[in-house]
Amino acid sequence: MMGTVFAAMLPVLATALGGLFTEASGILNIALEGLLTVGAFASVAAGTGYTSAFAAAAAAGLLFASLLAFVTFRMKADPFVAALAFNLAVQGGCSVLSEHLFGTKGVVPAFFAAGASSVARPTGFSQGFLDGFKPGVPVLVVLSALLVVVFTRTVFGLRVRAAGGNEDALAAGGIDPVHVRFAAYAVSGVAAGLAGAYLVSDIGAWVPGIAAGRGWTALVAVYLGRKSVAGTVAASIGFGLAFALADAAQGFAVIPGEFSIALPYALAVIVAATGRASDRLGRDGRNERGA
Amino acid sequence: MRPGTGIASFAKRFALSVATVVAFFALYGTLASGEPAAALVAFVRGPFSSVSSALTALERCATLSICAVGVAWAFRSGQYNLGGEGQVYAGAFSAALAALSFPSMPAPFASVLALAAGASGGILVAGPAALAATRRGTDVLLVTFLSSQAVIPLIDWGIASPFRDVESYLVATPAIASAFRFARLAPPAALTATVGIALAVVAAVSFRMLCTRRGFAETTFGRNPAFARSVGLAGPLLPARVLVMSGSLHGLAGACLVLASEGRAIRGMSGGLGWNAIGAAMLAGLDPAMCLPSSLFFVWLDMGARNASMVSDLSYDAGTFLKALVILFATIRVWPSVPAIVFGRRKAVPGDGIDRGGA
Repeated sequence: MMGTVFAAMLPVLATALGGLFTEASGILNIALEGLLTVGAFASVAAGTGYTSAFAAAAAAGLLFASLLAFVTFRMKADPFVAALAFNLAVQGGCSVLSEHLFGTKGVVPAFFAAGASSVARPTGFSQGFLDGFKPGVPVLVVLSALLVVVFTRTVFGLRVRAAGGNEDALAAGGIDPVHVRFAAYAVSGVAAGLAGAYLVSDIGAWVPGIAAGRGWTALVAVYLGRKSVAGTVAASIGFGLAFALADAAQGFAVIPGEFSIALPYALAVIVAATGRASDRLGRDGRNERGA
Repeated sequence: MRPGTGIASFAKRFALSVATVVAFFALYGTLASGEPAAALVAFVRGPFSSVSSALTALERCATLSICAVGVAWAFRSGQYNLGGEGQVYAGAFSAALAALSFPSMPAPFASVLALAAGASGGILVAGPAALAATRRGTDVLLVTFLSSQAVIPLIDWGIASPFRDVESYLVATPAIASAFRFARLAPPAALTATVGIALAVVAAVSFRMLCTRRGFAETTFGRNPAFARSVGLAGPLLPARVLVMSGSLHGLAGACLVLASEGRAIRGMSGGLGWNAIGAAMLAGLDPAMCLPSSLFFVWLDMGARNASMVSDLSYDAGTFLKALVILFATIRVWPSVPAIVFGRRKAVPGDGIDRGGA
């Protein structure tokens, strides 16, 4: 069970930690769902092995997140509507590309994940915990750890937080907050892209709608985590548990499949609606728009 | 950050959207289709291939514009209601259940009851966001989307299991009494009273936004919440009120789908209406009156893509991609020159790049 929770939590955690960068820099990136999907598709389209698949996913995430940042900051598009359009474009674009590249809009087997062996169990872990994990697991574990370190322990992380917390001070220091937000978008794109490749490696195929709301769940995890690493990790673990429970319930046919699909969203609504508003109230006007 | 309002601004966005469509077809058709000319002709003719088809497009435009007005109202008031898809679906389901529950009720009353039930269904889905926004200051954007995503599978289950018409080949509820349905105004075209409802909704919401104090308060709140609060224009219930009204309009559109075109609730019947409505509202510059032509444009994109996919090797999903491009271009406010893109550097400006909720 712990292993299942871990596997379900990892893509949400990595995406959420990437999303934390943009959120901390002062803007909510609601394109995470689309970026996850782009990463997943790129890994199938370009991946001949694990390295190329994950590299392609990261590159695609970086490219599209940068494009989105360009449209948002340079072309002054509404960040939310631009991100919504991006998610929609990814949905249609991946379907069209899938048809042209693979001759089907449906399931496409991932060559790089075929017959992949499980990772070796590290010393100290009990039997069963990591058994059956694909090589994508360490990639996301390392990525998540790296994101935490960069966010909390580096100058760049400090600048990201300053861009959202006190951009005037950042600008006074000669650093353009827009550049920092650009970089934050890029980080979130890479993280979401890699998480998308992980999803493909986990099930061994590209499936339409493969993100299945994980990008949105990650966004809620960031929101519930109130811009803190610990909070985001805790919320991601909670969602991992919810996804695992939903899968288990479906497996045992305790509840109809539709209920298990709705469960993570319903839990997120309850938690988001009953939790306290984040501390950004009044800072950038976004909560006033939403409140 | 709102797109510019007014006819001139709409005309610019509209021209850009048409140019986008043409450029897309020129590129995509040439690269990916073996018969680009046939695809383009089929796409352009789309809903205009016959009078009946054009009237059917008007009907679809009416349903979409009701949703688009709901989006425009909410967005203009600063409430990013992203749950339109679930609200439409809930409205359709509620309307069907209401009509099925009272089969012997006199027809006009049953239709009105179904419309009211549809609006209530939309409100039920928008309700958690309205409540959370008012009492907890929660992000409307997230809660509206999540509520919608939670409700859609539950309605899927309701239609597929307890309320399913087992004799139908569709995954759908039983058909409502034919007397309850809107009569077709020009058979065989699907044009019905939905067009009248849409016109009434557009007129009422436009009047409210332009000519009433509440409408002014909502628009001002959307531009600058702090100012609206400080001068006493906006009370604590304003966001909830707007969300409830937006949800009710989405639900009403769902009810119209049941009473006009489908005659029953069908699994997945909202079919992207909520997302299209956001696009139509953005193209309209969040102006309720402009939602009518912009909705017609989106219907044209939909029907055109469907037509093109039938007569050529063009994928129907290219239409989805195209709609996304139109939405994206409609929200862009500054088109930088190529040298500015390549070489341009700018000074750091505090607050630059953040949407502060203003226009």
